Amino acid sequence: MGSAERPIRRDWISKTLAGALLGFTLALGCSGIFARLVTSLPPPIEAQLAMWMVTPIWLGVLAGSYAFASGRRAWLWLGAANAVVFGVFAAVRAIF
Amino acid sequence: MRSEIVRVYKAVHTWTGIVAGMALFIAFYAGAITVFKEPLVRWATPPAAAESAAQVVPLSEAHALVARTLASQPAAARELRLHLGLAAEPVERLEWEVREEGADEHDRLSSRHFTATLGDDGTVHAHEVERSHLGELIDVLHRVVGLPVDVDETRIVMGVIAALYFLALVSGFIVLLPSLVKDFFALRVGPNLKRMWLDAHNVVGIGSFPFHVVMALTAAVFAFHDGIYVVQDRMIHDGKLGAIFQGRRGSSEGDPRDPATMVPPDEIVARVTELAPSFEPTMLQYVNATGPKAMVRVWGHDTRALEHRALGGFALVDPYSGRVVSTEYLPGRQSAAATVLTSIFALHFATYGGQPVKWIYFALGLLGAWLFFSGNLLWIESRRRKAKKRVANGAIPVQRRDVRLMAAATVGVCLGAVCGISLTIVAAKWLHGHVADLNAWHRIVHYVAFFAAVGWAFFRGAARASVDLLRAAAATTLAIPLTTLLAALVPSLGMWARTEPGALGVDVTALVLGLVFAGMARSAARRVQEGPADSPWSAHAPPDPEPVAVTEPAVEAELHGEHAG
Amino acid sequence: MNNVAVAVALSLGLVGCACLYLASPHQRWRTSPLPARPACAAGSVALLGSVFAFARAMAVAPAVFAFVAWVMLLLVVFPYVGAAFVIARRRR
Repeated sequence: MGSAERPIRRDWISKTLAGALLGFTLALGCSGIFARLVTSLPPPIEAQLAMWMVTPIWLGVLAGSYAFASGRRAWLWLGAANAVVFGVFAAVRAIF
Repeated sequence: MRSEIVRVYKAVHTWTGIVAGMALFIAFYAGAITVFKEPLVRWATPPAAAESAAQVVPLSEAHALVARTLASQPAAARELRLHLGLAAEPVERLEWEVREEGADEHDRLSSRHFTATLGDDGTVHAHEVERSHLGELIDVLHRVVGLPVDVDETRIVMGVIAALYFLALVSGFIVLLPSLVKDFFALRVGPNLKRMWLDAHNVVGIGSFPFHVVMALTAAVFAFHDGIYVVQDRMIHDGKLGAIFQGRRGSSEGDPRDPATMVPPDEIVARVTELAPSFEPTMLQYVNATGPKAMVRVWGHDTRALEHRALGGFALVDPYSGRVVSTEYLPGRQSAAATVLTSIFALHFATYGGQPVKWIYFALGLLGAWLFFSGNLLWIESRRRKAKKRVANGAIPVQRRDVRLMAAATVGVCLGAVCGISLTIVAAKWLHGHVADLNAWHRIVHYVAFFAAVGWAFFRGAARASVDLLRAAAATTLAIPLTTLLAALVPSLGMWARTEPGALGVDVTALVLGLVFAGMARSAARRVQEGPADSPWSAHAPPDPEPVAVTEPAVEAELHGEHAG
Repeated sequence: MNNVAVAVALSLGLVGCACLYLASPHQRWRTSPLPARPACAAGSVALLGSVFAFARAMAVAPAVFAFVAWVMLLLVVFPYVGAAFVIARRRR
């Protein structure tokens, strides 16, 4: 997240949108991987756990997004993280 | 930690806190009271006449009543509750609800309650029963941060507030991190008011941090879960989520069954207690009892275990075979994964550890309300314009307009909610029998008091209103035990004084809280009259001359400098 | 639920948190803090005992939750009690 000397740009709107939108999709992707990989639980319990894990990840990412050096970096990093998570999700979906 | 990051999160904390603070005060104050919803409803309900209590059929003879009610009342066939009578209330053996057409599933304020008795000829007589919605009303205030109804739109508001609350928690923690160990336990009372409010705020925020994280996340989920399920259904579950949750219930088509062939209630209870001896059943909930997938939930408590909600947990039983179908929600009999889920609910609702944990949550909830109130006090104190000390007889500066408005809003909204809730509780006894629709009046009384307090705060100004409204909060809260006392002394008033521990607990708690408010009113009065005049909390502050547009870089610098070291 | 075990658990939690509070340089109950190491050690032992006592009264998960909730409440309340002492002392 940039070198220690570089000041952090505020970019409130851009960072908030990145954290709220990309954080939500990231959380959904994680819950998808969870739901596909964990198959030993009773389906209703598993579906509830998958739902419950979305909000902590989502809001955690949102809270963390203000630490990025700029709004642009927030979009880039979180976009990349989304690409990875959805890549894994697609792979898991294809295999399992 | 880089000071730069701390500075960014300081701004996040200030903004999220100031936007969400007052709504969260109401949510926490009402939420703390909601912990004791059941005793509160009991306090508000007149003791049943002796003859109607005598009419209650013994459980061993309830089978015919249940079967005939299910057969003759379609609404009861959908969902019927049979109270086992271990608790003193409600006295009716049977109960079912009729919801308003198109009502939100979370909106229980509009539902009507019915019960049934058997006539001498064996026919079912259904009649409506009055239920106090007082507890539910305060619960709704808690769930949707002071808004009147719990529907999709207000839940989104609650969800946004919960998200801001979570941001405020994380950012507050980051801001505090550099001095966390050094300042732990510090509450420095002294002339530096900003220091004092900051310590008073931090002690609560850090000391009960895990509690608040749990509350923020669970509240956000309660607000957003419908939406998340919809998206996940398409994305993850391939549209099969409905079927997953329906499970073995399947379709409801098929020939209606004769409820007379069901296993009698006392036998169903016996099957469950045989399986789980420490489980104490309180209620049977018959769901679609005349359909092909009839189920009965045996609700009850096990104080050794985690429970899903205030009702406790349940075992799922087939009422026609008497077989225990599922113990997935039976306290203490759950799988590890189900225990994780139940933990989340239990941690929000304080449904574990019995009475001690309920009292701990009550206290933590009230302290949470104080966390948000003190946060606003801190915001105000940080933006206060002080008189220059060097200038003798120097002019006392006019406080910034936004600071004065925020001060008025803080006392108006927060203390207005306190007054409104206390007054609506008192109204349960005073208005009973004098108005046709008491439950509608509960809402009216609350909002009239609330908006009157807010109006008063802006009209009188924060300083004077803080004293007035604290006195009003003390008076309305003390009116709760005084009403009970009056009811006991003057029975001709038609009110009642219940002496069960739960109902008396309401009176004693209100007495203590009322005295606390009275004490706060006293010190606020002293501060307003004798405190420094260069404060929004002084009665001697100069009035607003002209709307002044002064930018104040000093405040920003001061705020940011505090933790930058 | 075993009421005696709960009472013991609550008392041990109270004693444990009081030891930790009194060992802090910010404590305001006494004129000077207790020696840090022995007080913290005693406090930790009491808190450990509190967890075990809770676990006698209920299953492990609710026992841990109840313990944490109780400790949180005490950690918040103790500094306020200290502040009340300071104010009372000043008035005298």
